[in-house]
Amino acid sequence: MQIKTSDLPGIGMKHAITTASGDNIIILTHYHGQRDIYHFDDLEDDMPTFSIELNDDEARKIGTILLGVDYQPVTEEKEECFSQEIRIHWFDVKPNSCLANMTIKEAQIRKKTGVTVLGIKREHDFIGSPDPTERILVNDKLMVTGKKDPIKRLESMCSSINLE
Amino acid sequence: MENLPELFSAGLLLIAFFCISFISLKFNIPSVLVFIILGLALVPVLAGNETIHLLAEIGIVLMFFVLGLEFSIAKILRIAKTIWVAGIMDVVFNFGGAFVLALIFKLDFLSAAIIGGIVYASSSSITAKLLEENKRLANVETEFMLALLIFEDLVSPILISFLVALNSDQNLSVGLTVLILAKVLALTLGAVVIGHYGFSKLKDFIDNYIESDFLTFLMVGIAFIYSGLAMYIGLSEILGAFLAGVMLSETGNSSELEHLLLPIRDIVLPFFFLWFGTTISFGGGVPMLPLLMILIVWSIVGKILVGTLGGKAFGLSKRPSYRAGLSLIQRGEFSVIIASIALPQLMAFSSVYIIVSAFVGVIFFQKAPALSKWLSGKHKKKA
Repeated sequence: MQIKTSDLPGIGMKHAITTASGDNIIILTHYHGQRDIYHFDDLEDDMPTFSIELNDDEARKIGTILLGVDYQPVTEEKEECFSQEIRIHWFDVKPNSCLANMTIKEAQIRKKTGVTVLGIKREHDFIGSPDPTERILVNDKLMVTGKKDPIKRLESMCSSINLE
Repeated sequence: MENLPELFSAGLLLIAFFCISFISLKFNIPSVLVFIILGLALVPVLAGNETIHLLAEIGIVLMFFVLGLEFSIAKILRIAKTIWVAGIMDVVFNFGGAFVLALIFKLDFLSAAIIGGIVYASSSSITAKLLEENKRLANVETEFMLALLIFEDLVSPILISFLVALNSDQNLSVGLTVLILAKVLALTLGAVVIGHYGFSKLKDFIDNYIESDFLTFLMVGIAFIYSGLAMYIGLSEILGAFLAGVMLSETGNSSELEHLLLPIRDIVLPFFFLWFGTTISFGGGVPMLPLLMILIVWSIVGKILVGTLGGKAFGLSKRPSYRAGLSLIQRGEFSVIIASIALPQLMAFSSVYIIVSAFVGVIFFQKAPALSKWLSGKHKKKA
């Protein structure tokens, strides 16, 4: 799969994805939060085969579904757990945060709060499914998932600011 | 109208703006054009109105300030690097071509230069709207088109400064050119230095006070000061406003700052186009009809050339390049801005040109996919 990122000045960010089966999907993230999804048979075509407009809220919910957080093909007993609300949050790691400069393992985020770190956004990079040995730096944006209370716990535990 | 309180008439005007914007949205007409027409219609009432003129000036300063905010120095350099070939072609074909054509029709140097400026820049706002409505934002040539429009956004303030300086001193000598270039360079360098070494340190300050209600004073104050400075040294306030925006984008808080300013900009900007409309007088009918028609044709040819040759340099293949060239024909707000410097007779000419080119541009935009398919198919057969 190929992903190409480009900046559409004045409009937003464009991600062009070509899947293994040859589909071309383009996701446009507007500055004002709207997401567009386009499908092209051939990238040089005049028009997409279809396009979908999603507002910020819709995009995030669909995103969590695609991440496999909200729904996973599981056995019946595990299904009970997933019926409770699981969310995705972004945390900004400020200089005075207790998470700064610790590795994920050292910070013991999951042990202490029950929240899982899905990814770290650093400058223009995104580290998905980070190693426990990955060090959390100041100005990182942590993408975490968990239920409402664990997320609150993480928020109050450190002076990291919840960007949601 | 004279006996009604000014507040009342102002309110009526703003409601008219609301109606125009709404109708333009529903009927897919560029609202810029309708505002000009409203100004034209209100000439008997509003011509020479000082308040409208002041609001118009504030509107245009804020427009370029917000534009500059979107572009940090690093971003400008990044975009310029990819698009400069097409950008230069754009200047040569569209500005140069129109300039030469105007000279052939025996216009004086300054008027020819103004016509060159009017024909030069495609309308960023109309193009962006067309791309969005026609679902072509994700097309492969869109990045090229947007980058070219930005290059034009960068060249236009400098071009306008030249024209403004020329306007006050009619003789273009080598000395004057060098002087103007030196002033532009000085103003730009000033902005770069202050932005890079000064404003970049302000990120935390702005972060902390972004929720306050007084940050706007700082923003607009800086915009006005730098614009005024530009005017003081004989350049256009537009260049100053744009550079002020670039300076502030170095803080890294561009999007939040933009949100602060957009409401003010949105209220004041239409006054510019309204004011432009009030300055037009069709006293002698439309002058220079032959030149007008030739310029319209050249407007189409010039942009197709830029799309085809420039697009290739950018890395596009044939069909997307044709699509790009055919979709950039509409002129709009920049041409209006340049035309506002012109003499009254030239203004009537310019406004007709702008309205016609916007209309023609929209048609070509819709037909671009079909036309580009035909053009590239033709080439295939030749090979």
